[in-house]
Amino acid sequence: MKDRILTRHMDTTEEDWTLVISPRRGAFDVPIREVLAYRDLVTMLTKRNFVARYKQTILGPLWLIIQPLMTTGIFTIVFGEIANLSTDGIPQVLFYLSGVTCWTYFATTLTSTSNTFRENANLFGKVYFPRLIVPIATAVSNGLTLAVQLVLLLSVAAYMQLRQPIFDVQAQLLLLPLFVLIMAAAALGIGMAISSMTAKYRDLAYLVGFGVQLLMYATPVIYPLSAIPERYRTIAGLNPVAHVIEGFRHALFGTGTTSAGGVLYALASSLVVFTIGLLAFNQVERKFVDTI
Amino acid sequence: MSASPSNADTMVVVEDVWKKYQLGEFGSNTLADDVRRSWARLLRRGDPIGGVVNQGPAEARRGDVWVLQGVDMSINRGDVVGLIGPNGAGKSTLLKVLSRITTPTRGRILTKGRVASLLEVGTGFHPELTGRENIYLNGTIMGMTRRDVSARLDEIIEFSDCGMFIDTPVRRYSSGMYVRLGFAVAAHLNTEILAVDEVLAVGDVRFQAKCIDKMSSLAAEGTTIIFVSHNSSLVQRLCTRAAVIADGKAVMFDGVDDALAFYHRGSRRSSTTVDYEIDERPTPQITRVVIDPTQLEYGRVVVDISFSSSYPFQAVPGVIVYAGGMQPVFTSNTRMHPDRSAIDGLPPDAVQEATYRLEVDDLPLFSGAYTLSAWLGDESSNFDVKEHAVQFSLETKHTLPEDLAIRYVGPLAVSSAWSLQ
Repeated sequence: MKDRILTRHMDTTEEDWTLVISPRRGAFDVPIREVLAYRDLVTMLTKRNFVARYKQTILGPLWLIIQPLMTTGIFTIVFGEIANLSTDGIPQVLFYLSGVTCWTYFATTLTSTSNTFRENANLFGKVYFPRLIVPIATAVSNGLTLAVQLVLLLSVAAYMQLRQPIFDVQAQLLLLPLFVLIMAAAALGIGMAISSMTAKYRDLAYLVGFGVQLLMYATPVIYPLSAIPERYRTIAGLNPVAHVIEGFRHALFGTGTTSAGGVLYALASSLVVFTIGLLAFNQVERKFVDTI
Repeated sequence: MSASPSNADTMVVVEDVWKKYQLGEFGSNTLADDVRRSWARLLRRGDPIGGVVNQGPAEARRGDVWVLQGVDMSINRGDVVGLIGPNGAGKSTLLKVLSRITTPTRGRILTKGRVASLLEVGTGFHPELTGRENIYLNGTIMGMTRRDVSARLDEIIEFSDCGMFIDTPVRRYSSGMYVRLGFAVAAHLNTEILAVDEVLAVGDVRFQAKCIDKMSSLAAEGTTIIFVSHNSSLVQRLCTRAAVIADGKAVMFDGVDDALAFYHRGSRRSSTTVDYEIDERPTPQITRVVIDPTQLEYGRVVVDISFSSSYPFQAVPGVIVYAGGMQPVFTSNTRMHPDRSAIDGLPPDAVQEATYRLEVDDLPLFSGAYTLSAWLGDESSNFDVKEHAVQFSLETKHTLPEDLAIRYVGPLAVSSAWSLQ
């Protein structure tokens, strides 16, 4: 303590310096300006993610649409035909495709964010840049995937609409960016919180893998919220992604259980989760290298 | 120690930086292990996961290692500072703290301007991306904007000698090309401060020479460079100053040769006699510096300085004593404090070879670690200086309270009187 006071006294103020490297960082001291200065790195990492994924594959970016199409096919057979689950009157293909599109974005963003420190341990040990850039780049590159898959979804919907008018597209479709924001915030928040803990406990990394799979069954991806018995609906509604998927389907097809309150709750809760994750991440990022 | 941060040209100040690493427990990182360990601790049993010592003070049991133990340093614009020292002495850790890869446990580092660090060549290169794409990726990782990279792209490509293959994925590159491309990006970052770890060892001789030229020209343009190396001749060629890092502490030298000499006699640091080879310079040279260890325990500094010369001269030997390896405390030479062996104040005869003894009694200094530089000149010029020739620990009757340190309050012990008015 005495040391600290004396040091303060004897030196010029910290304003004279561009950078002060000290042991601790305040809980709310998120280096936003620095993250902005590194925004070009987001672009480059996004590009790297895409190239890394599709170089040396024959089908390349076609995988972006093969994955949701095949999943939708399986879901249609298993949950639609065999289990005969309700789709709120929406054609099964569109119902599952819309659910899968949203869910994939959430799930992949969450999973890769939660691996931030472990996957980049070598890089983080060799060079400094604001570590937050990595989750941001993950959300952006998954966002591009999402965009492609949304185009796919809308093309399939338009094709079916031409053959036989079924929809009632709502003005709420304009809320689409909001829905994406909610999913990104929730996925990043949970992912960053988990990645901060996986720096110490590796168990969590394994948990995330199948935890996310299980979470899908608790989210109205393969069934509509209306199919859940009334008394469980509040519990299912705690999940912000539930409101996003329901809201998205409502915007597109005019069916589904959704409310402004639900969407507002989803926004608020995802922002809270995001903030918690961000602050945890911000504390761990500076110490992480010492624990590997 | 306050390292004069007021100097406008000071680019980096390292202030009492300590770094602790935890060993052992971090090897097994599952929740179950920690639960079991906490349980065992509650029951006061040994560590069930094993590996770490179970006795001794709490710190030792947790396997804490202090890699840096109060490093102080002050680096000016355009300095090329070599960090030398044995493996595990803390050189790379210091560089990592400076590059913000890890945090100091105590103390702080202040810098003016941006710091780029090159701890590895081609950090973040992706094998599937082309050379050109990797330049952008690596450049932005190091803090450039894409526009910065574009502006320097031609220079970078030219420097790397990879022009023909610049649009080929780097997984097809030879290791030499890979290194050249990586260094080329780092050399064009245009930051005010560049920290380089032992990365040049990998390239071929011709490319090493090119890198050294580049670093020299960067320094000439005002870039401050901090360079870790085991290669003495490289440090001698490139650096303008050097610091020896040993046992988590740093001693800064203004001359690279002295730093290397200090480092090479490192194994017998506690020895109190230091001999120097005479080199081909025609001027007088110091050949030996001896400090009497028994006198140190009584607060007396007794130093013998021997020298030899190819011609007779009016020798003026002197010393400068430093606290903590950096902060000058006092000086003495035969001009300021005339030679008592001379009769009636007459100057001593010209000598060619001699040993002078300096005795200082009752030093008004606090007990602690000091170093001494020996100096040799005549009435008008300097011939030789051996920086921090000896390192010693002085025992005086003045002892600082435990919670104060010389680095903060200075080494001077004055007699003073307080009274309530």
